[in-house]
Order: sequence, then structure tokens, then C-alpha cells
Amino acid sequence: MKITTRMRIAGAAAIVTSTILTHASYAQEETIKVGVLHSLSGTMAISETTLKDTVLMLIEQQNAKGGVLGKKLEAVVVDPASDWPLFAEKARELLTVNKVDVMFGCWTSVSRKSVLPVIEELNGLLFYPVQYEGEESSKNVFYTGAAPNQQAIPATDYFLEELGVEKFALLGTDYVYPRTTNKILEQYLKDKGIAAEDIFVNYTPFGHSDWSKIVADVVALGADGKKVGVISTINGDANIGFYKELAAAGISADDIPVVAFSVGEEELSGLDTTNLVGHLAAWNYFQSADAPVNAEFIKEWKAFAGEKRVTNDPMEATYIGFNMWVNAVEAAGTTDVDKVTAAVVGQKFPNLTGTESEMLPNHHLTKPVLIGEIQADGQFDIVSQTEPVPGDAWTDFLPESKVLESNWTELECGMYNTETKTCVQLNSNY
Amino acid sequence: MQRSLFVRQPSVLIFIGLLAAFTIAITVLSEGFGLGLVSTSFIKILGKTLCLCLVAIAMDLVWGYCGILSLGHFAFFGLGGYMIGMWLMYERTKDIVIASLAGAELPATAEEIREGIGTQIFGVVGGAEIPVVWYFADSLWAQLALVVLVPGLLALVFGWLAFRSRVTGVYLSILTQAMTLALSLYLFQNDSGLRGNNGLSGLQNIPGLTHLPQAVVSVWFFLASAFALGVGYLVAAWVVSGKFGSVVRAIRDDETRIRFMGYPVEAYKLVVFTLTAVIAAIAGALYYPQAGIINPAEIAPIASIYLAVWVAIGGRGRLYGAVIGAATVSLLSSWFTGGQAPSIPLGFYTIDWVDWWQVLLGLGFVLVTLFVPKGIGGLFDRLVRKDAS
Repeated sequence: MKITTRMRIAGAAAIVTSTILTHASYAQEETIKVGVLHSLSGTMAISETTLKDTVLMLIEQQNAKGGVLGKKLEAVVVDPASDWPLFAEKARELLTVNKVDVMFGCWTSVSRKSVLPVIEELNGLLFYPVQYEGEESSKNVFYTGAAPNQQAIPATDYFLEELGVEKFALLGTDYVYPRTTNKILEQYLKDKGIAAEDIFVNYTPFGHSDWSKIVADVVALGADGKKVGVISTINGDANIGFYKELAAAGISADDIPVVAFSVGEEELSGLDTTNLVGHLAAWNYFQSADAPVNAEFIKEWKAFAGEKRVTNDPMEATYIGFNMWVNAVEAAGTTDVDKVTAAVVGQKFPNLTGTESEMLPNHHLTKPVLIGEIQADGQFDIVSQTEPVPGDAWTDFLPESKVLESNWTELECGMYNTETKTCVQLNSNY
Repeated sequence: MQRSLFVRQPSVLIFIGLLAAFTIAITVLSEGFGLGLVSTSFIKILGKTLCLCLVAIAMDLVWGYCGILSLGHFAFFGLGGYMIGMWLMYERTKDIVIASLAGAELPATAEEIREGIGTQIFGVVGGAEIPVVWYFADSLWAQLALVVLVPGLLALVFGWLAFRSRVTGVYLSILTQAMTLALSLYLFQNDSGLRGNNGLSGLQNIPGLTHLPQAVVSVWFFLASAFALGVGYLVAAWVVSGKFGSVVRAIRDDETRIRFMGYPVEAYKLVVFTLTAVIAAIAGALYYPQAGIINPAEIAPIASIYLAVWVAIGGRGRLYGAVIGAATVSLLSSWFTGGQAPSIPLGFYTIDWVDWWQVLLGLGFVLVTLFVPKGIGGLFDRLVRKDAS
């Protein structure tokens, strides 16, 4: 019994000492610390690891150029393991224990919502690089991915104007991004004169595999000869079964075109694309974009990560965000979050598709919208490209968010009600 | 009775003593109340770990002592979290809505406030109506009662149906997996009214206490978790000692025999199953305000399997074993995911923690099961025996 007791006391003591040690071990030489908050294990690892590598590559390049403010950048990589509460834990650790000056991270909306209260409490800085549903604006976050008006709305316009689609099937995985996007699109289509009965909305769980009934419903929609188009916010593995079922039903992209918002180069690499050829995707960037800066980026990426690796939209968003942060720190002459935040707004930086992106006071970017046709090799043939579109945090197509505006420079509020002329809340709505 | 419990199980007194010493030491070292040597971030990790230890004790009670390998106890843990989360989210949002309506010319009506709350909470997932399940969300006491009642009733009904039909062994395990899977799939749906995949977030901001820094709130929750773990340990130790405990262990060892001796086996199992579900729910209700967010992925079947693994690693049928198992795995995972684990260069290949931590942890599980079948807790037996000889 004696030894047992001693052992356990020793164990407790070990825990306490290790705490003190981890706590004391971060007093180091002068570097600027960059936190990387992307899942490296679990379901999201396949997508997010690429972004971790992108940030590491950008840091390496920046250090080769002499760093920032004469100091080297140091990456602090953590693994939130696709576990949403762990994102909050790791964000707090990055900000308070590792004392990072900026974070690049998150993919899913739920991970972002998990991190928001922590970074707002501790006044951190996060660059979020993925297309999302909007309806949010945080003082501490820069959204470098697309808002719905930079992806979904232009894609719908393409369907209406270029392809003459008259009936719409909005198919999505049952979570917040498809729900909100489809709610916006439904209203947008109604405003454009599409009758409510010509809009078919359906949600399926994650990893859904039985698509026969839904595909049959979509096909039945076009029984009267009107052109049907599918707007897909289907996420992840479920896509494979969906496109397979379409092909099995003898439907080609000419009969019923599908435009997807979550299918990119990374998702297509290593996949049999036979069933997907000819269908569409809408993004702000494709690897096939014809611009010298893009060719350079692809070359560097392949040299860094491997010849077989592809580039994609969230990587471009990371690239733009990273460079804007570097330039903002240089301009502000400090890594102080408030000063850097102010300096990031208004930053202009060439994006990889040959135009220039600008950070707006609502912490969103201006980006061009590209529509690409899936090719057999998993790349996209760009069929349409717009001028840079300013990202809108609060959509204009829903009555309750139409009155809201985000402007962190003049209004100093991310959720300003233009009717009552008040700031609804300073924190974001997590 | 209390004295005889400690005499019969000296490990209980030792555990409570160590827990108290540990709690006081951490509080003194914390940023919120003391020297500031332990970061708030680590206090939160420790507080969450204590909650996981508590649910592991529940698991040990139901599996290690009663022989019911439930692979669904994390469902009760999650439900407890959801119940308290509803109040936290509703009240926090209410404060925001009232504050934002305060500037209006006319004072806000209750109807307007309710509407505002609905839009705030459900607007992001495409609704504005407050679902029926949120009926009691404005009352802390009601939601606290639901923390116990909802998982308790679910366990009671599920257990009654399962045990009455004499479902045992692996079939029961599968049934409990099905239960937690069904619950998590249901909650994933937006229509379930609990915000689907997004779940309930911002739970670390306690309504009415938002002026307090997290450094302070985290210590409070750490202390509450330690207290709950202490009480839970005492309750569990009391349950497994004495006549009731003897019958429970006998059910584990030979169910048929006990039934023929005239004991109502089903009733005993039902009591243990429901009691442990309630303990798990209380642990969950303390865990999620520290974690900050709860969503359906938390009660995916894998979580309950992990729970069984923790107990197996720590050693079944000895309550402190469950605590050791849960604490070891939880703290190791935290350390590995924190990116502080060093890479090991082997010359021809570098073992990067990022690629290998889960493999190493899994390897640890296998090694413990193979070579230390009684778990880490079993090592104490060996030490004690060697000491005596």
C-alpha cells in the first residue's frame, strides 16, 4: 500500500512539474509565431493537411526573403484532429501558451464557430480560407474564402443566363453551409421569377450513399420538357455516389448540368472522374487558370509538396491571406493585432487568376468568380470568369440579413442594423 | 457506514486525499486565483479530464463491476451537455438581444425578445422559430433537472426493454452502439431543433458572469469537476461495496446462477445502468461548458468505444483504474495534438508526431491489453504483492 501511495503522489507531482515545464519553455529568441490550426488527423485531414503544407511553404518562402520586420517566421503546428471542441482548446493554447501573432486555420463552419469565442475573448487574429455561408462577421477574423455572393449567386446566374435552366434542384448535405446557401438561393430564384414548385430542395446526411430516389425525383422534375439544373452543396464522399447514380440513370451533363460548390481539384485527384466529366464547379480559382503568377505558384507547390500534388481554391485563399498579413505587418511595423487588423483592411494583392484582390472593411475579399467544366484528368476547363466581386458578409437576398451591414473601419461593427442604426452586437454570432 | 467503507476500501480514502491535494495545488498555481504558473488553457484541459474520469468511473461501474459492456454511455454524457448547453445558449443570446433592443424608442416586448432570440440562434441554420424542445431553456433549474432526467429516463426505458428481453453480452453492446448512433444521426438533422451539425456553441461564456475572465471561470469549473469526481467516486465505491455490490459483481461473474438464487437480476442491472447514465450526464454537463461547443459528432459511436478503451487501459473493476485510464489517454492526446511532441529522427526516416501519434496511442492500447491485461491499475497489485513478499 505504501508504494502505491508513493507512486500516485509521484504521478501527481509529475503532472504538476510537467505543467510548469511546458509553461516555462516558451521564453525563446525573437521570432514571429504563426499558428497553423488545421486538422491533420480525422475526417477533415485529407483536405486540411494541404492547407497546413501551404502555410509551411509560404513561411519558408518568406523566411528565404528575410522574414517579416527583420525577424524569422516560426510555424506552430497543432492538430485539432477534426474534433470541433478541440479547435477551441488548441486556439486558446496557441494564443496564450505559444503566444502566436496570427493563426491560419479552420475548414468547416462548426470548427470556426468553435474557435470564434476564444479568439474574440483573447483578441487573436485568424485567417479563414474556405468558402462559407456568410451571415457572420468577426473583428478578429479575415474571411479569404468566398461568401455566397462570390460563388453561389454567380453560378446560379450562369445557369439562368448561359444554360437557360428553368427548374432547379438544390441538393445539399444537411448542415449549416448548404442550408444557408440554399435558403439564399431559393429566395434569389424566386426574385428572378422562378416559381416555388420549380425549385426542389433536398438534404441528405453526411456520407449518404443511396441516391436512386433523389436522382429519380430530379429527373421527374424535367418531365414537362423544361431544362433542369442541379445546384449541389453535397459534401465529401456522398458526391461519388451521387454522380455515379446520375450516370447510371443515363443523365449526361448536357441533359441535367450539375454545378458543385464543394468539388475541387483536391477532391477529384485520385478519383475516377468518368461520371463527372462535363459537370460544373464554381470557385474563385482553378489550377488551370492562365496567369504567370499561377504558373509560378504551381511550380513552387510541386517542388515543395510533390510532383503529383494539385492546387485548389482554399490554397489560393490561404496564399492571398498570408501575403496580405505579411504586407500589413510590414506596413504597421508591428504584429499587434489591433494595428495589423486595421492595416489588413484595404490591402491589395494580386490573386492567382490574374486580377487583384482587395480586403474590404467587412473583412471579406474581392475575388473573381470562375466556372469550370470537369475534365477527365481531374482539372477544370474554365468556361466563365467574372470581374472581382466584393464579398458580402450579410446577404442581400434574405429580409433579416438585408438590413445588416459589416464595416469594421467606419462603423466599427460587424452586425450593424441600417434600419435602426444600431450595432446589434460587437461579438460575432457563434 | 462511511467509516466502514473506507476501512474496506482504503484506496477510496487515498484517492479522495490525492484528488483534494491535486485540486488545491492546481488552484494555487492557477492564473485565476494564484501564482499564474498553470495556464488557463491547461486548467481547462485538466477540468475536462476530470469530467472524463467521472464518466470513466460510470463506465467501470456498469462494465467492470456489473459486466454490461455498454458502448453507448457517451450518448448520456452528450445529452447532459446538450441540456445545460440549451440554457447557456438561450440566456446568453437573450442578454445580447435585450442589449441590442435597449436602444429602441419603445421598450421591447417579450414577443420581440423571443423573436430576436429565435433569429439569433436558428437564423444561421435557416430558421427563426424556437423549437418545442427549447421550452424550458430560459430556466436554469429546469435545464439542470433535465440534465439528470432526460439521460436517466432514456437509460431507464432502454435498459428496461433490453434487460427484460434478456439481451446480454455482445448483442447488448451492439444495441447500445445502435442507440448512440441513432441519437447522433437524429441530432445531425437540422429538424431536430438543436442546430444540427453546428450544435450549441459559445458555451464557455456563462450568462450573467461574462464580466469574469475565463481565467477565473475555468478554475470554478475545474473545482466543480473535481468535486463531482470526488462525489461520484464515493457514490460508486459505496455502490460496489456491501451487499448490493456483491450481488452486482456476482451478476457479472455468473448471471444465471444469481437469477436462480432468487435475485431480481434485471432490476439490479437496471439500477446500475440508469445510475451510471446519470453520472455520465452530470459529467457531460460539466464538460461542455469547459469545451465551449457540443455537436452531434461528440456522441458518435467511436466516442463510447474510446470510453471502454480508457477503462480497459486503466484496469477494470477498480474505480481508480478508470480514472488512471481516462486521465492518461486524455492528457496524452492533448500533449500530442498540441504539437509540442518532438519529432524523432532515425537517420533514414523521421518519426513526425503528426503522422504517428494516433498509431502510437493505438499501439499503446494493444500492448496494454496484451501484456498488462489488468490495465495500468493492475500494476499496483504487482507492486503491492512484491512489497509484501
